[in-house]
Amino acid sequence: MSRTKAQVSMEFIVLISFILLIFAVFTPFLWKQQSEILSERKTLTAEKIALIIKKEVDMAVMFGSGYERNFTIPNDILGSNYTINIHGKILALNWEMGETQEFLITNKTSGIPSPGKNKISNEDDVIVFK
Amino acid sequence: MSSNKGQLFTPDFIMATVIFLFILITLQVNNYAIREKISNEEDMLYYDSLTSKSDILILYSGYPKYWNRTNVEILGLADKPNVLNKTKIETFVSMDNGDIKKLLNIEDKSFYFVIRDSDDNILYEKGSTSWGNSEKIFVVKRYVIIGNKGAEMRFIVW
Repeated sequence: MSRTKAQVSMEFIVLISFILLIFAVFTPFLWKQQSEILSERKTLTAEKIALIIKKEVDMAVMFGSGYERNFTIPNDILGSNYTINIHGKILALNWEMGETQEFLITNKTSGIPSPGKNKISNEDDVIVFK
Repeated sequence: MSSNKGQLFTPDFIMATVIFLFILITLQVNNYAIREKISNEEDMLYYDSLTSKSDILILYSGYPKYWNRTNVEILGLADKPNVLNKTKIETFVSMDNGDIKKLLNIEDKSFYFVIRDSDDNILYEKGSTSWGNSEKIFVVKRYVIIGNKGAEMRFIVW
């Protein structure tokens, strides 16, 4: 009887070891996959925000001097805070672990859009963000 | 004794393994579907961006307003929205492909620009048509007016 008990315990240990091995192998793989997907979704969201700003700039340039409009962009990128910078024609969105860029049609800009509500205007062919 | 030996590979264990594999496969299928969706959304976003570029070409006069090959900062072919200026189109098609790609921010892509009249005759064209082996092609089609006649502008990027 004692021999049988020992055998069951051994099988239990083997089984637990096998399950732990499976988890040890698959957990990092699944975790990596999930974080890659989250990263891709964040990049996609950032690209959408950049395109919104680009289209607002396009519109302001096309309408010409005197144009003014309010627009809103998301406050965060799927829970991550982000910042916006403009260098010449390059609009850059930065968030934790990522950056995306969009090219504006003009380098004549003043001010920088920020997450949330913004006002864009065309003042003598200079695109102003407030 | 034989029943003791077989305890590890009991129906319960086999069932648990099948359920585990089922969950694993479901997760993989789900991940694949999410990636497909992201990829499709990226394509749609790029198409949206391309439409926006073609909007500027057909709705805006460009900058400076009377631009030429040397001083152009923003490409625009319109006199009025959807009414294109022949001189600007001729200047556009005479420009270097690299300069056009830089101005339109499609430097990593190839493009073909064509305007056809209502009888399908080519009025103007620019770029290459070697998209045969390309994985993805984006086509934006717009209707424009040139010299009081309707025409179709196609902007193809791959």
